[in-house]
Amino acid sequence: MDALRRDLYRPLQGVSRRYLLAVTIAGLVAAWGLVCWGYQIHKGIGVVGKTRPTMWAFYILNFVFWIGISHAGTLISAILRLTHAGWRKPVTRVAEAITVFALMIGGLFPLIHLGRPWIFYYLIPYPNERLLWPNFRSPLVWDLTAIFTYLTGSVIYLYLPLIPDLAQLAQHTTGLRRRLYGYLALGWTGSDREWHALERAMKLMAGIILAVAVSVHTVVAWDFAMAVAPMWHSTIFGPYFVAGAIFSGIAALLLAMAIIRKAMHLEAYLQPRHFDNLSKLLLLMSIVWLYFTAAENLTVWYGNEPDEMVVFGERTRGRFAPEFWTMIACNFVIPFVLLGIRKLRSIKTATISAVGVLIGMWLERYLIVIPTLSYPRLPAAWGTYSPTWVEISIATATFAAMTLLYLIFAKLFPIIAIWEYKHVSDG
Amino acid sequence: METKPHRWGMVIDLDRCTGCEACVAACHAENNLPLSSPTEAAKGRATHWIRIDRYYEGQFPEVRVRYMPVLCQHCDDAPCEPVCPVYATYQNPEGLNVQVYNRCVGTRYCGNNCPYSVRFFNWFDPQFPEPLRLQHNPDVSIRGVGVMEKCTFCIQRIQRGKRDAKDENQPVADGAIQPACVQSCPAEAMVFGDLNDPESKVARLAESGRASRLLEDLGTKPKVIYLQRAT
Amino acid sequence: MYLTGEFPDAASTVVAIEALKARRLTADDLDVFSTEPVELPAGILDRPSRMSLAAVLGAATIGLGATGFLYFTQHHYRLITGGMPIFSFWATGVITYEMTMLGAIAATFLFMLHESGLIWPRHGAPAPAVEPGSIVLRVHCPDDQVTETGECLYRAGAARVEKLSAPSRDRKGAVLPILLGLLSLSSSLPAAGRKPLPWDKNRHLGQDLYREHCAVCHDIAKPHDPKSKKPGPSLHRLFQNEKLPLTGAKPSRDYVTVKIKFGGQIMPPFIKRMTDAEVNAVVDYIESTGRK
Repeated sequence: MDALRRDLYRPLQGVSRRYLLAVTIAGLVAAWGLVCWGYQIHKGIGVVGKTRPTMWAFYILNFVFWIGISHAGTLISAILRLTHAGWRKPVTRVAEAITVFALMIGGLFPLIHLGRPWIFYYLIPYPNERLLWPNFRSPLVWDLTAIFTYLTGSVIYLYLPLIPDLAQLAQHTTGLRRRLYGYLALGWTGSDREWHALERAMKLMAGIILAVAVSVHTVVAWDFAMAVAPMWHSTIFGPYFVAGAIFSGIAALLLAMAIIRKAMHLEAYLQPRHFDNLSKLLLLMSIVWLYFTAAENLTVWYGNEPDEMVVFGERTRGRFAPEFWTMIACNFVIPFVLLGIRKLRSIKTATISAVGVLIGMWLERYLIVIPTLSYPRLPAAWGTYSPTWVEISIATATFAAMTLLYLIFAKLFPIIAIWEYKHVSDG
Repeated sequence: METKPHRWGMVIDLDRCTGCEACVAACHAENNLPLSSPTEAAKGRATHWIRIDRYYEGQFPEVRVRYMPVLCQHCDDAPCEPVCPVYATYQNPEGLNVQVYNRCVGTRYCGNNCPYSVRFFNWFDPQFPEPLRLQHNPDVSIRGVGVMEKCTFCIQRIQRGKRDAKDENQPVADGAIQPACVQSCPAEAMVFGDLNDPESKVARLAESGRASRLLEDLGTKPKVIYLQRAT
Repeated sequence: MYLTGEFPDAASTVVAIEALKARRLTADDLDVFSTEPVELPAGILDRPSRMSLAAVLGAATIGLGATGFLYFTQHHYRLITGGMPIFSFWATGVITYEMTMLGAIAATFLFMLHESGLIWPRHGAPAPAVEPGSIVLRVHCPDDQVTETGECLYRAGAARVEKLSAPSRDRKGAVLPILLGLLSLSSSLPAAGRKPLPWDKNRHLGQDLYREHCAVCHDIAKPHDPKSKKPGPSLHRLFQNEKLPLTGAKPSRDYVTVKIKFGGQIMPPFIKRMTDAEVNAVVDYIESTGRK
C-alpha cells in the first residue's frame, strides 16, 4: 500500500483515547442540547429570551450562521473545480463534509424556533384534511425548498467522489465495515465507463450546486429583506449574505483543516500552500464583506430615514456598539493585519484569523436580527432582548453536534479524496 | 338588502381620547386575553390587543401628552399576511385580517413584519388564576402556547350582529355592531362600522378633514382612521 | 471470453487498444479499469454521454411541474394575503428556481448511476482486481481469438495477461439491498477473476492449467514454427528433445519448474498464481504430451 493510502487509512483504524474523549464531550454537550429542547417543548417556547418585539433572536441568528458556514463546500469544491484550481484537491472532502453537516444542523433551527414544532408538517405540501397547501408566497416556504434542494445536492456532491474511495476501502477492511463500504460503493469496479460518468456528473453538479448555493443564502437573506422592518428592507441583503456566507465558510474550512492537519497527522498533504491560498481567499472575502457592510451602512446613514436611523444609531453608537465594533475588528482588522502582511501569514495566523472571522460573522448575524427587531417603527413597542440558558445551551450544543458528526465522519471515511489526489490532470 | 359586502373599519378621534384605557380593559374581558406575571410583563410579553401609546410634547411646564390607541389596523395590503407559511393569517372577504389559531405553527414572521407591532405571541399556555375562569367569554377561543393572536375587531360580535340581522331579515344597522373597545369608551372616541355603506358614521368620518392613517406612507392601507386637529 | 491485460501506464494501454481495434474489436468490448481516472487521448475509447441533456430535461420537467403545482394549489383555495394576486410568478419564482435545480440534480445523479452501469444496466461481466498505479484492460473477445488477443496485449506491453472467469456471485447493484436491508451478502466487492475453472475430474489438472496459463503464448501440438504469432517457443516434446529451444541447455524438470515460477525476459512469473502442486501438474502435462 502506498504512503498516501497508509496515511489516510491509519486514522480509520482504531480509536485513540483523545478521540474517545472528544466524542464523549461533544456527545454529552449535544445530548444536553437535546434535553434543553425537550424542556423547551414541554414548558413552552417562553423559556427562551425572545419577547415582543424581538420575536426572532438566537435561533434564527444561529440558523443563518450555520447556513452561512455551509457555503464552505460550495466555494472549494464547485468554484475551484470549475476554475481547475488543482491545489484544492486535498481539501474538497473536508469542505463538502462541513457543508452537509452545517446544513443539517442549520436546518434544525427553524424547527427549534417554532412555537408549535409538533405541527411543523403544516409546511410540507401534501394533500391533507385541512384542504390547505402551504403559502408558497412566504419566504419561509422558499427557505424550506431552497435548503432541501441544497441539502440533497450537497449530500450527492459529497457521496459521488466518495464511491471510488469506498470501493478501495472495502478491499482493505473486514467484517461489518467491509459490508458497509461495499454497500455504499454500489459495486464500483473502476471501469472507464464509471469514471467518465462520475467525472461528468461532478462537473455538472459543480455548476448546479454553485447556482443553488447562491440562491440558498439569498433566500435566507430574503427572510429579512422581504420584511418592512427598519434596516431589513434592503436590496443589498441577498448579495451581502452570499458574500458573508462564503466568507464564514472559508473561515470554517481553515479551522477544520488546521485541526485535521494536527489531529490526524496529515502535514504532508495539507501543506502550507493550501493554507496560504485559502488565507488569500479569506482576505479577499474580508475586503468584499467590508465593501458590502460599508455600502449598507453608508446608504442608511446618508438616507437619514428616521426609523432606520434609530436602528443605525443603536448599532454603531448605542446599545449594540460593542458588538458592532468587535465585529469590524474580527471580520476585517484581524484578517487584514495577520494575512495581509505576507511575513505574518502562516498556518497559525490563518487559524487565528479564521476563529476571529467566525466570531465576527456570528456577531454580524446577531447585529442583523436583534437591533432591527428591538427598535420597531412605533417607539412604544421598543424592547430589549437577552438570551436565556436554554438558548445558549442549544446554540452551544449545535457546535458540539457539528464536532460530533465530523468526528464520526472522519473515523469512517478518508478525509482526503484519494483518487482525486492522485489524479494529476489539473494542477 | 345591501348588495355590497361589508368592509369593516374603525375611526378613532384622538381629540377625544383621554387615555383612560377602558378600551384595554374591555378588550381583555371580551377576548379572554391571557394574563402575564410581573416578570413576563417586564420582559415585554404582556398581551394587549389594544394599547394606548403615549407621546409627550414640549418641555415642562408646557408639556402635552397625546394618547393614541393602537390596535390591529386590518390593513388591506397587510405585510403580515404573505409571510405566514401556513396561511394562518389572511384577509377575509369583509376586509378583516383574520388569524386562524389552529393553523398557526408559531414561526412569528408575521409579528416581525407588522409595522404597528400589534401582534402578540403566546409564549406559554395561558394561565388564568381563579376566579378569572368564570369570566371567560364563551364565544372566543382560548389560544394555546405557540399561537399568534391580535385584535380581531371582535369578530364574534360581528358574526352575531350579522346573524341577528339575518334572522330579522334586516340589513345590519349602522352602530349595531360594536367591538368591546368601541362600546366601552366613555368619551365615545371610537366609532365602528361598514366603510362600504356611504351613510354609515364611519364612512362619513373617514372623509373628514382631520382624518389620517398611521404609518400611511408604508402603503399598508390600514382601515383604522385617526382624527386629529392638524396642529 | 474475457481477457485482462495489466499495463503500467496509459501509453501502453493506448497501444493495446489501438491494436485491438485494428482486430475489429469495438469500444463496447473494451473496458479500462484503474484506481484513478485514466486520461486517454480523445477518440481512443470514447463513451458518448447524454448526461447534460438529461440534466436539462430533468430541470425543465421538475421546474415547470413545480410551477404548475403552485398555480393549482394557490387557486385551489383562494386566500388573499397582503393584497397580492392569487398566483403571481414573482411571488413564487424562487420555488420554481429551486425545483428546477433539484430536477437537474436528481437527473444528473440518476443518469450517472445509469451511464456508469452501477445500477442499471447490469453488465454481468467479471471485473478484475486492480492494484493502485496499474491499469487493467479487459477485452471481451470471441473464444477462438483468445490466444491472438492475448498476444496482442503482450506485444503492447502488458505485464500480465489473464483469463477472467465469470464470478460465482454476479455483481448485483447495492440499491436493492440497501432498500430492503437484506442480510444477504451483496457482491459489491470487485470480483476477482482468479477462481479456477471448475474442472471435470476425468481431465488432467495440468492440462487445464496449461490451457489457462500457457497456451496463450506457447504451442504444444506442433514443433516450433517461425511464422507462429505466439511470443513463446513451442513446448512440443520439450523433455524429449535433446536441447531446450532457447538456451540449448539440457531439459530438466527443475529448470522448467523454475522457469514457470520465475519467468524470463518476456515470460511472466507464475509463482504467485500457481501453487507448487499446480506447477508440478503443468510440468507433468508437458511431459506427458511429449510421450504421446
